[in-house]
Amino acid sequence: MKLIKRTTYLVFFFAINVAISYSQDADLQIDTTFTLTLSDKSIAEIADNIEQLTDKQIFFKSDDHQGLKYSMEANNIGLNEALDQMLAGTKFSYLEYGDNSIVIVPTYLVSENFSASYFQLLEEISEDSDGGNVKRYDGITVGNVDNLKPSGTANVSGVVIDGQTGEGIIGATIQWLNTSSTGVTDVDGSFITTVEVGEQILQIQYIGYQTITKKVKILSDGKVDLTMEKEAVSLEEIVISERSASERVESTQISVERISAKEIKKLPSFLGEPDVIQSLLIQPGVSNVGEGSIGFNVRGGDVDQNLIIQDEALIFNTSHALGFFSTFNTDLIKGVDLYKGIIPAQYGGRLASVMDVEMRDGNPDEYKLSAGIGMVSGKLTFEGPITEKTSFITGLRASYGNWILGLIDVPEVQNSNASFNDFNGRITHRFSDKSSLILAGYLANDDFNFNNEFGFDYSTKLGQLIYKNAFSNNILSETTFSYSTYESTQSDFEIIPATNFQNDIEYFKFKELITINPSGKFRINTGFSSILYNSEPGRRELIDDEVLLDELDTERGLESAVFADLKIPVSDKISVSAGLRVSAYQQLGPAEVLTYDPELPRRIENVIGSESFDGGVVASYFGIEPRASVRFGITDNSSIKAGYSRTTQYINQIFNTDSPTPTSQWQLSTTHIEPTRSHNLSMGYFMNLADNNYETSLSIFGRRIDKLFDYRDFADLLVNDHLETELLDGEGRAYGVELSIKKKTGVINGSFSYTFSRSQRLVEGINRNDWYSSNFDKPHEGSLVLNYQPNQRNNVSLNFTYAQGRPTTPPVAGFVTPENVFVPIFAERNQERIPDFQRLDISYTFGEGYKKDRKFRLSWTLSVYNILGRENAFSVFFSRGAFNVPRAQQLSVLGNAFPALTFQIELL
Amino acid sequence: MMRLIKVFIIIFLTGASSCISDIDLQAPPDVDNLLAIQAQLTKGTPHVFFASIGKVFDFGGRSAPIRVRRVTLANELGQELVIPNTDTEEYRLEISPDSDEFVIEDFMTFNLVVETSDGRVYTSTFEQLLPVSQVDELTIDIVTEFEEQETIIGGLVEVEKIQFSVTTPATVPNTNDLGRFRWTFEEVFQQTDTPPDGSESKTCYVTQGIGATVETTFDPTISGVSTIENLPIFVNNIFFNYAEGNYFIALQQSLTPTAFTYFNSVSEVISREASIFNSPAGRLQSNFTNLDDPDDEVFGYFFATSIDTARIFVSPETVGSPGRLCPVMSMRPTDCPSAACCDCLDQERSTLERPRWWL
Repeated sequence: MKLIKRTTYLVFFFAINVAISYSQDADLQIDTTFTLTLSDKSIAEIADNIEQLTDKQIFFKSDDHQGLKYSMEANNIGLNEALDQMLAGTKFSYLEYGDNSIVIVPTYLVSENFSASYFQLLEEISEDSDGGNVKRYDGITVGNVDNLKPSGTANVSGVVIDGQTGEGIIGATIQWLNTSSTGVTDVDGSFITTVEVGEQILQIQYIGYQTITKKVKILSDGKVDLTMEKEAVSLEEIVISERSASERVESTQISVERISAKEIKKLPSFLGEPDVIQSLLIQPGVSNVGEGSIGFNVRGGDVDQNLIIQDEALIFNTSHALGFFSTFNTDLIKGVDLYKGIIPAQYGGRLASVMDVEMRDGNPDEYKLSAGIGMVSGKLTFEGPITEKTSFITGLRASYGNWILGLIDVPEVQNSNASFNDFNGRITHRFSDKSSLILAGYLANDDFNFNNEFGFDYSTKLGQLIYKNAFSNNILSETTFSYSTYESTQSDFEIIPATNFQNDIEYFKFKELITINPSGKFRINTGFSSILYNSEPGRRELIDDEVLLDELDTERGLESAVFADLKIPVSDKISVSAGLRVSAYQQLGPAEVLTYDPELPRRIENVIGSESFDGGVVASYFGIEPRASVRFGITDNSSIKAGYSRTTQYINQIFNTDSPTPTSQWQLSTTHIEPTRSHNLSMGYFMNLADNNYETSLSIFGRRIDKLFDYRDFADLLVNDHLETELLDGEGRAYGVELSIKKKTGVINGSFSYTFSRSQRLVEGINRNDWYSSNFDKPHEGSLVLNYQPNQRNNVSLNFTYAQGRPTTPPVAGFVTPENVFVPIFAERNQERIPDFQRLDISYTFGEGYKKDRKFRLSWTLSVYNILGRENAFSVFFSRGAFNVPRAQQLSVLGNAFPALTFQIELL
Repeated sequence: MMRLIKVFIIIFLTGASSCISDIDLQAPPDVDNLLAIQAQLTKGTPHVFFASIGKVFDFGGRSAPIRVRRVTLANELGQELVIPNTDTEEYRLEISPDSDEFVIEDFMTFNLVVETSDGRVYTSTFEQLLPVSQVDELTIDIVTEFEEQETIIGGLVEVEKIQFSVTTPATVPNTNDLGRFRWTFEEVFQQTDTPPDGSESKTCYVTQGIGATVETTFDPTISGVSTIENLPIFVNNIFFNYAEGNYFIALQQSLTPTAFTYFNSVSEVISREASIFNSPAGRLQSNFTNLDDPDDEVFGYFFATSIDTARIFVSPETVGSPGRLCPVMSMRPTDCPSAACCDCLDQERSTLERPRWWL
């Protein structure tokens, strides 16, 4: 519908889904009196006559009055009386705006409040109209005046995409200048803001991209999609973050670390392979038990207490080559979010953290091929359009590092092999700008053999289907179905006879997430999820003739949850995010449940009976998991946040080694193995300086794990059908302080983080029932990352990491048996510490440029991992020297400097 | 660029390796007063009681003697036998199978009480003496393993070794219960000396324990098999001990579940090596306690067992006819670089008397 101003007819076509804040009532005083008699006339004709006789302008929506005829009998009466007579018995009423305007509206709108913005916009549009023709507007027009709301505000949503890749840009800052309305693009590059209607100036900023400033005429709710182009890198603008400049201060969410693929690639890496997990380890509150270990620990949580998801699919093992590399191909990921303790309600099932790895879509506009060749692995990425609405991206990585093992002058290593490969494929189809479908698959395989002493084979297969749909500008839906299976085999050639141990787990997951944005700052995330697990917990067979020795029954469990999160802007300074997750878990049959004498320790010799379940529910557990966080803005650049969450975990990994192995079994909760539960608290002060270039934060956290288990000495965990007898119930606690300082841009940029934390356990039967340190209790940890990038083609990065030695249980004494065997006696659990950990890495990347006319881009990265060659202890063990004298020794997994050279080429 | 790559590879080759190195760990206090009591009652003809009672070594390998006031063996009938004191830490007593004063029979239970001169009293739990099944067969296989070459060049070489396997019923005799097994090993080998003074050579039969670093245990209840077939129990290097004939002797013991758990734990702690996948070390759980002071930790174990002895002859041809030890080459013919070659009796448990079971 065209908007025009009729200077003679004084008829205004406008949207009427609105209200006027200027109050009107039945005693509306219109002083002018006039005389007019008309019969069976259109509203326009009557309006024309009134405007000729009075100084009033009359507005109405012509569509509403199509075909309607009105009569007026005004004999020296006021306009209000005349209008009352005319509109009596119709569905219309009228309102007065200002001194000279009258608006005829449907009666049901009369009780609404109309805002000044509404009328201001009407006037602007009237002034812009000229005899029924709208003046051409040189900016962007959003919405339609037909849908103008009485509040005078509009929800403006849109997508900001990278002009080069076609990918949505995460974390771009949306600012309506001269208003308080701001926003940040989310993981899809989408944003939604609430802003007053009328002409506004929209500014979008994103470090490393050209700032967009646009005039926008906002008429109603609507959409504006924008494309950002990378800008030439100047000495002053080096990208180290793809997130909103002020997000850490402004977001209500506490304890979240966000890392882009670009940041990950910039860090010096082991043998030149960029690694997601390594990049997490420099974040405050994140650590691991040592080099070559699998997984990571967050705020005193065990490795299995981290929910790791690739889009929405759970990943059970994130390691290649036993932990030296991670399974995530950094060329295919968009970014990583790590929620530490205070976890949004849509996530659950783990106690400590959520690592959300978001994969990127293929370029919808053009084909791109890139390849990387490193010391131990190579990778190939190919992406592009399939049809106008469909794009794909695939990535393949494969290792060829055995030649390096052959060069290492350690016979055991020479006789070992380690290889891995992984494949990602993803097809994205956009039905419209409101809905899309993603089909993604992932395969990973590992084969490791150490000196014919032991070996691991493990693989992950994963597929997921994601359907995204926007029901309206305010309601978004994401439906996900995922399936995955993880299979692992451990070969032990040293035990007699040589034996294979296998265990597998698969799951089917369904999740529905609905996001509702009634207004820009008020947001609701709600939905439900359900995961069906099938676990093959153990199978043992002889390697030589594949004779099956033992096999445990399949275990099944169903974990479901409903959840809702509300983000509530209380005021400009205070915002609250509150959520609730209600989870339920059922152990499903068939199962055989042993009954133990309740008066005696839970040991196999104390079994007093058993119960068989053919099917159905064997055991049930529930979790009421509230979570909340609040932000108080102190200034524009600083805020205080606090948060609490309750978390429940129904599936735990069983391992009593320092680090889980690829075959460490995932154990579902059962009648005797109850879910683990935790209270998580966090509070922090966040401050940005120098126009958000410096981010600083100081956080404290505390965790109380009121249900966990640890392992008795000499626990037998492999293929054990009464595993509960090897577990001891207890509780845990963790607390600490995290300091983080980050300089995001500049020729020299980087970050510093320091964490003081403790992680302890109290388990009956261990260390005389006293508190003891967990395996990953490292009170003092710190990291320093420095980047020097004088121009786009050259970048030097340095990473220094320090950690206090983790606890260990060393031998402290011994005795000799009658057979002349020296038997060591070990200290109580985790009573000593291994030596402190220090490592300095450095990398230099050269060659990468952004010349747009070139058809390819190439770069070389030279890196040295552990350049000081420090022999950091992974573990302490005991050996016998001359005359059986015991010696304490340390194992250093990477005891020397590891240089690496990586070549990367990208065909544009 | 190629020059850079070459330099880089050189750096890499000289740098890359993992390593194991000595470190200092502080020994916690109060370990030097801890006691280790290891005792075994073996049913046989005669029955043999053996105990080793001493203080534990601290981490420096030192050990101080302990004064023991009395060692008392008791059975479930309430009969007690005081073991005579000795000047060493070892106690040994042979008990007649016909003794009525202290009866030892299958399935009976026994315990041990140790009183130290400083007033501590350690009492073991009662341990059942289980009969042991007889070994059906010992077999030999030659297997190949990789081993680090002890030369300047280093590197891995394939080495042939001899592997011994056992076949035995898995049940406890006279019961339907599956047993739990422990094996210790000995060998007796023939060795002929070559005295440098020209005197006549002698042929000795030398007995030595070869299970010093191995605790082999097996629990058939895990797999539920009623017969253990060809279970490899020991692997040995092939060297001069096999040059003139060798008997491998396996001493098969039957353990109670608690004793099995203990020896399995011993096996675990002594076999710990440098590995990132080591399970955590645990404290061995003794079956001795100080009833007056439960916090007084003590190590070691008392158990009772029957033993079945199985032997198999290893001919030199079976293992590729390895070279003899003697004579050992020397610049001066009158020297005696190897005492065993000068006088083969100059070795522990060496005799000129051929064992009666020697072929």
